[in-house]
Amino acid sequence: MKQKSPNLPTQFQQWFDSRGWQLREYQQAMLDAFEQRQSTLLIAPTGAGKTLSGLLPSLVDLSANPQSGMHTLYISPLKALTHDIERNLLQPVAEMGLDITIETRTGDTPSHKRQRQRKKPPNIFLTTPESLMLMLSYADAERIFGKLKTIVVDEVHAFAAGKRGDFTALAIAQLRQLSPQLLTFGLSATVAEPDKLARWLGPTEQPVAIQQVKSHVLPNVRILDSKNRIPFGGFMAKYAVPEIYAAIQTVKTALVFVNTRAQAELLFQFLWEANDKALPIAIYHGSLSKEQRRKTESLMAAGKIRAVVSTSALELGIDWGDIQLVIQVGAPKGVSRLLQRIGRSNHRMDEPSEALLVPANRFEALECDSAIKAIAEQQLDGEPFYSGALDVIPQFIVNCLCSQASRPETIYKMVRTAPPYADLEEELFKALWQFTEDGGYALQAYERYRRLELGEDGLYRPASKRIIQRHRQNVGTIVEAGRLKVKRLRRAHQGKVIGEVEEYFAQQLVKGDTFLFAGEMLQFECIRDMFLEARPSKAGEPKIPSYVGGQMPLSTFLAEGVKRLLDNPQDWPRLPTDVQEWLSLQAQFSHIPSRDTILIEQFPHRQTQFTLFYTFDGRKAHQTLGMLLTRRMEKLKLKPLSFSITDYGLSICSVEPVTAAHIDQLFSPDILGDELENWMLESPMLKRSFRRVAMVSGLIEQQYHGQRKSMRQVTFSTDLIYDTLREYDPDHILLKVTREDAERELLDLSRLGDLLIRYVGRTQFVALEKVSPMAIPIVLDVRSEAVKGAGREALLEQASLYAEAEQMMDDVRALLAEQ
Amino acid sequence: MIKPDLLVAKIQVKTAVLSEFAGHQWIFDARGALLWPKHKLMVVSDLHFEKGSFFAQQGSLLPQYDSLCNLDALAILIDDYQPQTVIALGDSFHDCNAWHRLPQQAAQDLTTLVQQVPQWIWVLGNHDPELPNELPGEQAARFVIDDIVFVHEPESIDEMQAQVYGHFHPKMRKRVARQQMTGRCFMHDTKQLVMPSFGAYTGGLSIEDDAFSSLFKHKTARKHLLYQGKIFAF
Repeated sequence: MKQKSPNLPTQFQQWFDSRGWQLREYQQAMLDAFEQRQSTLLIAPTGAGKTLSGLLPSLVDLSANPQSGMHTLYISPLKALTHDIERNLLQPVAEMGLDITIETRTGDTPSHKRQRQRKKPPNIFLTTPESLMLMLSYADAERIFGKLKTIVVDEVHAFAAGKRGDFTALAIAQLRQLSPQLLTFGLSATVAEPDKLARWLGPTEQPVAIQQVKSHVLPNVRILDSKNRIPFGGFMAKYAVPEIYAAIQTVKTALVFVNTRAQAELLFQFLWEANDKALPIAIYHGSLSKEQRRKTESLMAAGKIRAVVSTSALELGIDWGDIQLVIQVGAPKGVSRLLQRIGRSNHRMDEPSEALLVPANRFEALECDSAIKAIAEQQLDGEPFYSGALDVIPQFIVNCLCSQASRPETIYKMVRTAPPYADLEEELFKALWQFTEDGGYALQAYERYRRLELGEDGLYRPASKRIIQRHRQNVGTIVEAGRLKVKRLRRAHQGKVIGEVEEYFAQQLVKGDTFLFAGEMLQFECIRDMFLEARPSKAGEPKIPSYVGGQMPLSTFLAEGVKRLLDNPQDWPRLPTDVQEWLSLQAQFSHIPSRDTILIEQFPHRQTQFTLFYTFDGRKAHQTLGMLLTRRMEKLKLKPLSFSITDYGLSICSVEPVTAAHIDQLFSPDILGDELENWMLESPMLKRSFRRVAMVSGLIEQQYHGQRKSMRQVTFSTDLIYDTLREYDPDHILLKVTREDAERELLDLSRLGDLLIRYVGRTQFVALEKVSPMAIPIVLDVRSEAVKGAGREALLEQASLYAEAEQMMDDVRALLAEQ
Repeated sequence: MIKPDLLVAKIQVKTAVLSEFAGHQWIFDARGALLWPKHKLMVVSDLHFEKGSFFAQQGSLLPQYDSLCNLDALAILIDDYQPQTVIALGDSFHDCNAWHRLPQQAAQDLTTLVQQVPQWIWVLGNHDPELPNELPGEQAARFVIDDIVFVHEPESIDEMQAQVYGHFHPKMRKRVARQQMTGRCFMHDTKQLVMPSFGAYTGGLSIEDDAFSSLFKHKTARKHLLYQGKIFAF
């Protein structure tokens, strides 16, 4: 029997009926929440029609009370999502004949359209946090947003806990000032701790209500069986290509998720080599050009594609029509993320989703198994929330002042209403203000250059038009790696832009190198005006794009699962046979890391010495421990060169081998006297943080006059600025902000001490002749952090031309005696 | 000039190195200075005084400590080597107004420093084609001694001559045992030598860039990498 909703107008009811749909309970709840002016967080599994639920009240309200100007602001973390939602809203609006205007605005929106949107804002406005912030910087922000009734924040779980979340919370705080009657609706996938999101959505101390839709059907997830053996190391899963291809053939449409864009490119290539039936298989990732992505999206929506190989770019709520199977290649890095991906298949709530997991190496098989177990037990991993990032504040201050002159106290008050900044101390805010105003440097001898100017009315405003202009070009800089556009050349320097790569990748290419991009082999020509120019190529082994951005850490929760699995050999028989073999090989060759001991493996590998510490304490602990251990190794003259952290522990590369005799000193719980603070401040990690902070806070610009400064140029100079600042102004606010930024990835030192106390007497050191089975994927992983010091000097000295220093001494004496 | 024992000590800890160029012995210092013992001459290049305030004027509030940093570093070098002549090889000032932006104390310190050396030559560069008259020291477009030309940008010279120039801010990377080390560098063959930039905020251009391949034959050119306060020859 069809339930009639009391607040659903007839034309909506008829539209629902015409599609054979009925209003779901939680959609009704959102309509009620709107009527009662109750801000609400809707938590529902994928496939529940969340976005429509969030926007339905606005459509209903607008149909009953037509208005001009902006009624609803929809904020999404992904550009693609706003376009998708626009499509999905325009259809019912047209079918019901409603007089409601709906438009999107993102970084891709042409400027004439932006102009028009400012003059005549649509009723429902779909945008990203960055574009929203830009609009808030206009003098007419109040006119544009003053009548706003609702904000709908989509996929809240995907970005609330992070810098973008902080940034968005500030924008919402400002919107609440412009339009105090504002309602906030948040839409989220199932999360471990809904309360945190509810708190983030409301103003400080006023969390929104939570409307949770439970999922009753568990997905059907299993590890893919393969005839071939799972390799010890590697991340490409080539061994499983025949089975992946076979699985694709069994369904109408499959989504193949990978973790990095490099994996996407390579797997796509493998699948095409195996594609003897010429199935339409596509590739999709964030580096591809807008046109390429649009094309794939529309083919997909039309049901013309059998499989898409994709990175997380397709993870969020885009509606992809009828996907019957999700194949996850490579380890699922967290249970929540895996569920989100799995939810892409079978967009109907009451049927189980189907998913296959394909571990790329044997270690990943352990992670896959732990994830399947966690899903069966309905456990979720959560992301930690931090207090708001400080570097966002100067950007926000300038943004506010671009729109309207104001006082520090006024903006401070507003900032505090954004929950991430509820506890921001006034002192700190003042220092950030000072930095925004004139740099806030200690040395008074210098003439002060100002970004802000105090008027006679007691209000601050940007010191010049130029400052406003530069701010707008840089607003929303959430720094990732620098990017270069890839131009596919046909002749001379003419060709089409087919996507973007990280500058880091581009810089390592030498003319003639080949790499896979957009599913095709390209040959590198040169970098010209921020374009990477390449031509199609047929020959050669590809240099695979090593996209830094696509890598994800494993959740602590899953790492814990792996540790439990290793600890319980009685559970091993459920693992693939290869994996069982591998574990027994590890047990024979070295040891299996266990709950009670910290296994330490030492072996020579490729001209250097490796030491692996299986500590299983989470990436933050490993990062901090890496800094401490390398510091101590430097003091012990072991000449550390670099370290890399994994989800299971860390690996340190050095010139001299660590021996059993060193372990007590390395793990001594007394961390005083290590001058660790200074050592950390000199690390590449802190310099990376400083670079981010310098950009976000507006110390340096990434974009100016439409031309992006090459990230490499920026990198070099921020390191120099960092060093100079440390030497001449060690108490400067940006150094404090940098430390705070880095601390998100570090453990505080008192907790590091506690950790070391737990390790006392529990270490198990083994010296091996070569890399152990378990260590293979770890040493193959190339992301490592350089350690300053004697090790690198020793390497340079080795390679240097002047080994015979003694002879030079005679030259010196002769030379200087001449005078 | 520096005492032999002090220089030997520097070479032993790799903060300086001795190398031949254009038929003479030179000292390459890890801080980016070149010394010619025969003439008690020291060369530094691309100091870019007041680069920080140049950007600050435009709204990028960079810390304006670069000139202080340069001054401190120069004072120590001069103290170490006691040169008779200092050549600042162009782009000593980031722009033509830089001298006037120097805070009073810094301008005074620079003046003292210059006057402390018997001969100081400001070779003009593309950033500082004109320098104020009140600036102590001599100004010259180029400086020649023993058939060696000191100039900011390379010029076509005769067979018999060699040249030392700056302008390019060379830096290099070296990979050893899968580790990569990057830093500013000197590069030279028998006829020409390019200086690293000395200024605190000056970035670098990779010697693999096309700008260098038209000047040097990579295989035969000698490079001195400046890394962690030390110098390494390749």
